[in-house]
Amino acid sequence: MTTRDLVLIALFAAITAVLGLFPALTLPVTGVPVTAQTLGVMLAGSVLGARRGGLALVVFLVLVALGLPLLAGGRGGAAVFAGVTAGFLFSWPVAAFVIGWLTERLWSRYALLHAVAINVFGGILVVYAGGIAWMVAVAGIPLDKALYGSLPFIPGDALKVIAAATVAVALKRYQQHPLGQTV
Amino acid sequence: MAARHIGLRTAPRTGDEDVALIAFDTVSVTAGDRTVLADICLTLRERRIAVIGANGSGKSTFARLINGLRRPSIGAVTVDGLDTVKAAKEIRRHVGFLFQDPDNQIVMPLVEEDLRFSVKALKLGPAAENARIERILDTYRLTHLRHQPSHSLSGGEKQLLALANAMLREPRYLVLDEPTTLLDLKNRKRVMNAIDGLEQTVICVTHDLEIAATAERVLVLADGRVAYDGTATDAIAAYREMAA
Amino acid sequence: MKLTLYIRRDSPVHALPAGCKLCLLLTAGVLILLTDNPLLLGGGLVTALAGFPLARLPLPEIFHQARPLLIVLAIFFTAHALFTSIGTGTVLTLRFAIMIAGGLLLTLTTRVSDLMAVLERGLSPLAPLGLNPEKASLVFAMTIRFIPVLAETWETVRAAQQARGMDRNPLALLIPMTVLTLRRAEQISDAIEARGVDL
Repeated sequence: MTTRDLVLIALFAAITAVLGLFPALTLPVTGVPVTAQTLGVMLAGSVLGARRGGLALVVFLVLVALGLPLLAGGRGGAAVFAGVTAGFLFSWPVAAFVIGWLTERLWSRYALLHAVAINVFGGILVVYAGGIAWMVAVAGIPLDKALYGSLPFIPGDALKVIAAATVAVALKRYQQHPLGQTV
Repeated sequence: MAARHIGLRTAPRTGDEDVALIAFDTVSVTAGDRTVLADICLTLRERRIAVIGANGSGKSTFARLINGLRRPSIGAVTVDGLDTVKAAKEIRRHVGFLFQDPDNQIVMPLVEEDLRFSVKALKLGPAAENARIERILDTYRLTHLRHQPSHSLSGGEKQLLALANAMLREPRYLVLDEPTTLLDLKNRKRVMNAIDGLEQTVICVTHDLEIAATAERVLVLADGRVAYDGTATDAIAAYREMAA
Repeated sequence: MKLTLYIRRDSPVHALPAGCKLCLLLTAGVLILLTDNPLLLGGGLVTALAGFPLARLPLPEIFHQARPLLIVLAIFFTAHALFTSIGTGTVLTLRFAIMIAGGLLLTLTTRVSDLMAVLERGLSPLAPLGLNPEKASLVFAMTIRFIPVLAETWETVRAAQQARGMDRNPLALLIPMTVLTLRRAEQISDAIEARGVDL
């Protein structure tokens, strides 16, 4: 890891924290609060790649665990990792890593369609798989209830996928994307 | 008491130390197919040097060559005979650097932690490290802020902290890359007053002609070349003419 | 914007070693999962809250800061009272309240550098696996350092786009924000290297 890698990891962990400062947007029909924080997961993976992106989220979660109130709504501390929805949190670094890994693999052809597909897979499928598996296995919630309970969040996540994909592709087009700079 | 000017005033020499010397030996820097600096041949021995020029003239790259943050594509830069690329580690110890945006130079959450982060690299041992931190906090009047979050400092205080960080390693040279551009008048004055008093050789890249006017020697860069090299009055006149 | 961290005081809570406090918090996190008894949990909460005056912290200010957390807790409790049962709601809310109070107390009374040192020690057994504890703690410290800086950048970008009537388009904020952050990363790594810090 170069100094630059360490700085990038820290800054994207910080971006994820900053995204948590925004008041949750309440979805019109369902009334479900959507926070911008998983956008940080998608951005970290899409912009930094697998290793740095995954580590950025590990760093973020460790700081949360140490008691810094960095999660949306000012939450933090060990308690959030014991909650019903903790599986979603644990899946963040994995999701960022998966998004980054796929982005690196498809880099030469990387365009909006790839970016969207990658972020749907990593940012939605991986995150929900982790979150729902935890609800079922640890919190004893039946699978169908866990699934239905999670559905209302999908539209918000879809918007975030489009946002993250557009940013990553724009960075590539402007030649500002770290994965395009082989230094 | 007469009003003090802001600037690169030369502090009195302390003794008959070796002549300080920065040498550019036919240095060119290219980035991709763009030439950033071309054929720079210079020897700098003055104690207060200013570098002026339009945006994109290569000023920042010029500054970064002196402490090895940028490598010449062709040629070599030496400081007191040390090659800035080959002896990068030693060069960093002798050449302090102050950047434009103080926020990007402070990496620790608290003021004292940030100084400690720099001083640790010197491996002096705890007692000497503490002594040096105390002294530098006192010199730059930051002692009352030592336990404050870096973020709570004013722009000028942040830049003073960044300067304190550079001076902590007791360098022989100090390179400044537009150190006052982001500061208001009051803070600009505070920072320049602190720099005024330094014994070190100071190379200041700046847009601030008032600061440049007090240097012993002024270089004007244009399109990656030294377009003028001379006394402050002449160089600034030449620069104004170029811009006209 | 203030990322509330350490508040300096002379108190037994402050004097307690960071590792000790961290262990206490983690132990509390495990203990509260072992009981469903609201009285025991209530006692735990009182104990945690007692730490605040003991630490000589400015209580009104902290109450003000903790208000959003309390509101979330209240909503959480109400939801449980309505949809599951008051009993479950009480137990879960108390558990969260204890951990929030404990986490807050740790954060307010412990310097980040001390926590980092604990972390560094905790990570040192992993050094043979290629994990450098010094690098790791630098990354943690930098993250904390740059959260307020990036929040400010965000505000600046938002104001600039608002002036152009573009602040309702999230992409008009996200793209410049990301580009500025990447550029900042370059400058920060330059500054670290210029300090002669060997990483």
